[in-house]
Amino acid sequence: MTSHQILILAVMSAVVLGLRALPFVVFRKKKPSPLFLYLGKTISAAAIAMLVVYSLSTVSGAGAVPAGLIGLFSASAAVVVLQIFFRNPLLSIIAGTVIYMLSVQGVLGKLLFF
Amino acid sequence: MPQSVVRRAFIASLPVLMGYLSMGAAWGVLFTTQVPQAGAVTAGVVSAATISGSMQFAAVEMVKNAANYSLGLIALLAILINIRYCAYGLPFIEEFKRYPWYLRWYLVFALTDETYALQIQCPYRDAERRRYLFYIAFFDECYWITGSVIGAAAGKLITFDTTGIDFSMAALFIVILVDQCREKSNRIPAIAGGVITAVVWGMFFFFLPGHVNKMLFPAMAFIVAFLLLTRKKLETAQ
Repeated sequence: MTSHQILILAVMSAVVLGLRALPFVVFRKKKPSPLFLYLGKTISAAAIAMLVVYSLSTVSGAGAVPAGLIGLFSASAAVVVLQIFFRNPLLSIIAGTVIYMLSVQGVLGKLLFF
Repeated sequence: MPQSVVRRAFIASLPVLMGYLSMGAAWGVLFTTQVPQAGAVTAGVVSAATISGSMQFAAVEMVKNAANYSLGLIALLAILINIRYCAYGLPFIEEFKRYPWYLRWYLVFALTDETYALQIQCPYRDAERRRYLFYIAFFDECYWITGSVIGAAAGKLITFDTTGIDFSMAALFIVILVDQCREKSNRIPAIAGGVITAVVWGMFFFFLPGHVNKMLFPAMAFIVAFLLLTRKKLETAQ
């Protein structure tokens, strides 16, 4: 692994630890302000939506062929539906990933003629 | 009675055992299939140092395409993904002040969603409470590392084409989003975050291709601006 890759992993672990420690360091004396609490809560929700859009944009093979886009939409829809009804993260993630992999590798296309 | 504290902590953590072994293994497989230079040992070390599923899933994409990611972008992504950890510490601030520094630091370091959920329900006080909190965190971390190493080793043995396996990161975030949106007060910020990011992504994709990975900075700025501007409306709506 290159030094840049190792650095990435190190920075990542450091930031996670820093965020976990943040309340203990910042709020030792005073209580968190209402603005801070409001931003913390809303940014968490907005950030996850942001990450969904971002991670979908980085999936390999997504833009290249029709199979990629169809796979992206159907796999994402599958994840949403499965998670709403079964509340099992592993099931949702694995099912969606399998659907996407089959689609982008052309297997699903051959089965369904696209 | 130290024996029963360990036992009770272990029994309480059994659901996490199942969850972390499977999620950890899923991550391990993703990691070694996407980053060929990484092995079971690397996976184990990463999991031991981070203990964050969502962060580690994102890390696979970042390490694989390391050239696209400046350290500033890594830090921003890490902050976005883990900002909810800021809130977890709040109930424990007073209590942890009284603990020896090594225990305090370990408990803070190993704080995850599941560990937090179990620690909040600790049935003990005083010395036994400290031991229980420690064992919960420690067992959870062990399950996570074990799952990752097993998955990483299995990933090395995979011979079929794994193109598209990185969709699992998007799937993980979709799952987290769905669960967050069960709570109505999260829906507007989530929709705002998603729409703003999609628009910014579109602008970068069509006008600045090649710099798409930098879109998170302006997207975050717009989102914060939106949240500050609509604060009155969002708070009265609740």
